[in-house]
Amino acid sequence: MIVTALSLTAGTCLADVESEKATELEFQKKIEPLLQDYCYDCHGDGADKGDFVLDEFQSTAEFLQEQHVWLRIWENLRTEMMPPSKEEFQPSPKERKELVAWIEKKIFALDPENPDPGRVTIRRMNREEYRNTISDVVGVDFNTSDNFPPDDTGFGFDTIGDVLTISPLLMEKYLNAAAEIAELALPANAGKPTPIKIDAGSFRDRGGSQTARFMEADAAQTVTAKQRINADGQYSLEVAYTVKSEGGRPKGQSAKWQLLIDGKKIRELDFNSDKSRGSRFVEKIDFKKGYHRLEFVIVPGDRGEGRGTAGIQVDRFQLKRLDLDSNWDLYPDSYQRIFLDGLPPTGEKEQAAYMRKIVENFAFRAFRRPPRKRLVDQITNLALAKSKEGKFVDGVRLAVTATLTSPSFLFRSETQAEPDNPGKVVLLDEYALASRLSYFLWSSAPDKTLLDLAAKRELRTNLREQVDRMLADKRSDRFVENFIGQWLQARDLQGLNIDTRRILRERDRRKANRVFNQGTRRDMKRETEEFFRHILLQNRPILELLNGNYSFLNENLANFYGVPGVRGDQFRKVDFDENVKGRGGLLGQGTFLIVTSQSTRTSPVKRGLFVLDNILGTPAPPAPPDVPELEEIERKLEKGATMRALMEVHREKPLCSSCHERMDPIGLALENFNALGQWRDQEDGKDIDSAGKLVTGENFSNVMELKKILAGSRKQDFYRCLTEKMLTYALGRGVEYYDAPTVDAIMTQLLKNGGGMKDLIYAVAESVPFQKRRGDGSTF
Amino acid sequence: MNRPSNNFGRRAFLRGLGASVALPAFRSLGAEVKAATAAARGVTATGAPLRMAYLYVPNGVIMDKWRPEGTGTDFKFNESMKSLNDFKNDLQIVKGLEQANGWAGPDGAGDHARGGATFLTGARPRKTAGSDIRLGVSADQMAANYIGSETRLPSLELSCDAVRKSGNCDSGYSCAYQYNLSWRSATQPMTPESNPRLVFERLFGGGSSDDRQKGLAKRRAEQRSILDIVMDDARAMNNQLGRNDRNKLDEYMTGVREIERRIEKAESFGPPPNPGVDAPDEGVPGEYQEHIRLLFDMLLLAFKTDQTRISSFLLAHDGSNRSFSNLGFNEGHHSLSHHRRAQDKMDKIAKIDTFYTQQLAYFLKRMKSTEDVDGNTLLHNSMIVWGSGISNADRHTHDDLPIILAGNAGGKFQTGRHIEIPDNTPLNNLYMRMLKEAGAPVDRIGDSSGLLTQV
Repeated sequence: MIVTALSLTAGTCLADVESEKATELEFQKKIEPLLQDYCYDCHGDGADKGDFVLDEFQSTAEFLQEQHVWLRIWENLRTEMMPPSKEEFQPSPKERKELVAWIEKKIFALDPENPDPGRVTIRRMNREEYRNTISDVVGVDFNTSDNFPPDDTGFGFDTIGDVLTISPLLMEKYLNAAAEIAELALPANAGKPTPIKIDAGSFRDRGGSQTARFMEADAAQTVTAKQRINADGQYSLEVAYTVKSEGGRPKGQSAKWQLLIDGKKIRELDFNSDKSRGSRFVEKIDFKKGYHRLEFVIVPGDRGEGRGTAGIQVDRFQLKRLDLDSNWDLYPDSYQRIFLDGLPPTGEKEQAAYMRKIVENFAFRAFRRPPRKRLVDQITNLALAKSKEGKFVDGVRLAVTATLTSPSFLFRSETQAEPDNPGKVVLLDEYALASRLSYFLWSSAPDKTLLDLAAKRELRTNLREQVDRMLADKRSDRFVENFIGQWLQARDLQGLNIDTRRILRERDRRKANRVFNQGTRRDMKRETEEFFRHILLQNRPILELLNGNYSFLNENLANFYGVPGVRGDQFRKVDFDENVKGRGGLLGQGTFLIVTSQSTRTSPVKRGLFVLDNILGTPAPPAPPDVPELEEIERKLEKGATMRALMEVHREKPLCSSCHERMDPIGLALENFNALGQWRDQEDGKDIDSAGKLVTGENFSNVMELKKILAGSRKQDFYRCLTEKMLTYALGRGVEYYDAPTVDAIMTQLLKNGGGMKDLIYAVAESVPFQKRRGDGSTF
Repeated sequence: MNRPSNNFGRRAFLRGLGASVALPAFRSLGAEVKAATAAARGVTATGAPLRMAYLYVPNGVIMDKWRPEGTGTDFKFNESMKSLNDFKNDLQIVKGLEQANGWAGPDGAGDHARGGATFLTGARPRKTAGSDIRLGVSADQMAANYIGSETRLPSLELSCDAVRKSGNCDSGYSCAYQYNLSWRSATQPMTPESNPRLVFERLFGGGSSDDRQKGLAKRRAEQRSILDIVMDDARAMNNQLGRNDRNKLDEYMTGVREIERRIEKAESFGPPPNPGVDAPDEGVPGEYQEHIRLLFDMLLLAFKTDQTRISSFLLAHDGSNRSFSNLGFNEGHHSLSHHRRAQDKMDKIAKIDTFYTQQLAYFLKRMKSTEDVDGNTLLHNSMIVWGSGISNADRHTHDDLPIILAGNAGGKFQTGRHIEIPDNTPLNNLYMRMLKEAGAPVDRIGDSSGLLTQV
């Protein structure tokens, strides 16, 4: 996916007349004969296939200046789309390489030694990034998907600076959000011990139907609640309860009732049906900060005589903090992060100094770099004025609001000398580099470690180490989710309209829903994420994305796929043996197979196109508007014609065939998977023929062989495609022709070192466009 | 104040609003006084506010079942438009309008992106997937430049597309073109709001109506100080940035200035009116029809209380593949729209067309049953365009667009007609006329070639 750069204007890059003449001669001697041999059959000598003609320019000089024409030649040569594979007469690999290199050097004037880092537009945070940044910097959760409008996307990603605009509406929302976040982070009631009350209905058994509202004495049962404790300390636990009977009162029924905390028995009570009563008890418990498991258990005793059963109803469950000498611990985490030295001092001067310190520290973390002194002064003054009218914290709240509204927070600004001189290339400053890294791998602000390194200017020299640390951190899940979510469109899986009944040929809605439901979709998305994460964290070869003979499944999904031997809800790595057909690699996963299907059936065209777009990086042009739908063709052919027969129609019209012979064979190879991603050998009683031939000439007889080809002779295409997607996501701009040397260099590295996924991340982070920037404007 | 009780459902809460709530809030606003003293900007001859709304439906229509039979005043609604029977005398159907920049021209595929992008701009979108997006100023925003200052909100942009599909949009066009009808400048889209609750809060403030008023002046003063500081930060940043970055920062500064203006306005207009109804539930309704109607309810509230006189509403982006299982079939709208004249598909699309005109009927009914300050109906004092940037979605045509113009413009429009004007008349000529009536005399909008006099 190389984008036609709009800055590509008629060539002024051929500096002086001398070299222009030399280039013209070179063209006539070396290049033109190659074009004559391989291209003019269709694009010259009177032929104008695709309205693309190469020999009707006034002069050689004029031809050499038509950069747009050369861009198309170069793209098609590089990806081996031209000449079409069905032409027998093909350039040798050496000739092809020579042509590509000549175009890059002489027409585009690219210098592999000094690649153009390109221009990245200043980027505001997108919704995901805003939410994560608030969560990581401030420590509160602010739901941006409810509060902010969806972000516009470009080049398939929501990280593109040019399309991330700020409308007046959004600006208003930023201001309101900042105030709301300040309230959440610094709540008015902070520091006051409020008892933690847990509703009896929050205690549930595994099935979720039984609660502590009434626990029958005649059945062994356990109900559990999970509770987060915010600070270490001693708590008093008060439980009030009533013994009651239901459905009659048996005589002599008895049972034990136990309270367990984190599996440890705290209290045990014998009760019987003969006495209804209410009571309460209090226990002192030491809790550590974190989640705790609270349980009530019934151990039935004597069954008793008569109808009905006795039982226990929990009326109140309450925890109160006891040791209150360390009051500061009660303040929420977000509060403590902002008030870095604890509660404010009393003296006016001391307060002023503390306010300044708070403002400076918060702004530093929020801006991801040291704030301008003038801004710190202004915010501090505003905050102090507010504090004087009320409490100190009121001023801090205002300071937080101002900080989170400022452009230094909302935009990731990267500044440089001579910002309007396209010839001025500079290394990014280390703070900007820290942000690029953290928004790439965490979709969020840099943490203290990164900022500290940047402050010492040691980040660049410790880059790999930091990438390793960041990937090992839980926050890298966001990269996996956001990248997979958009590259493979996994984000869409949950919301797609799927006519399960029609696909399964099952009339009963409930039966169909039992086979495939929202849970299955969730599991599929999870499968793809776990799979990608494994390859990333273990630095497995990228090609395993295509041909890895394993996946990550739980029982539910394994059953759906027909993979035996997986028990339980946990996802785990499952290696496939020869009995499992077609699975292994992204193309055998539900995520891909479903997002490329229609709501009622498979779509070989969508699947083929997806592979061209997102795996091979050789997208086909869009279809003309008046193409017939399959169903219509089906009417003309005999009833129950196979998908393959339907697709044959594409070959009839030359207009269609040039593109469809690229995508259809790929899509048809995947016909063994239905629109839900289940394997099938037949469709409606007819065997599925999944054999085919790629436009680049490789033959395959089924999807397994297709995968081998993609990861074999086409592996460079996949490397290039994934590299370009990753660069687009990481840089926040489209990949342009001038990035060719960068992409080539990364590919060379991948080919040399086995192409591990982590290697790709290193290579992107170390690449020129990631490390450097240049001034704005056209380079031509 | 007529308050619905708490057990009212999300839908029910506004239902009675039209006629039964007799404009209490509005009267107290003193709008009559204001209307009378204002120059003829955004008002009717009787001094009532004159509103304009642009409602977009995706993927064209099945014209055979849409186009009315007969012309002039003697026409009969066709199958998909039956639900508009009650409003026959309140609207006009205009045949012959075109958005010429919707056609492929040198740009190749991407008719859905162009259909949406051109609808309000009449400008050719630059074909780019993400760098240097460029379109043109939309008609509603041109109007807002003139009469936006008369109301608390210059304009209100709405959309039901709360979720975006990931991946690329139409044929090399950035998604920005498809999801934004209104453009403030050639490069800055006006992001629409899709959450009804947030629209309400934007119009009338958050919290309970009592809370909304409390400490308002003080909050405004604080907001002002914050805006001063962040503006200063923006200026400091600006000096270190290149051209494209400065454009981005300019969007930010425009946003800040807009808020400042609103604060000033709020001071001169007094506190926001009490709309007389509770805010809708949080979150976006799961059901499409409910979502559309709730946003229409919000638009009605905004018009009724004169919070704005200008609005655009994208019911769905062009190319939308929404499925209408409530109509009894699962295929997506866009997939169906490439029907190749297959009858069953065309029937299904006609059902979708019917669904969309029913939503218009709902809105018109509410507008017609609400009394305006001058005693006329809101509908009488409005100009409502309903239409699509594509006519025949099977062939991606951009001429003979399906366009309904509802409302009398306070008496300036001759409603109750199906009119035919010369083919290939720029749709923007209609907008030119609307802006003229609204007191926004612009020289041209996009590719407009004059004033549409026939309506």
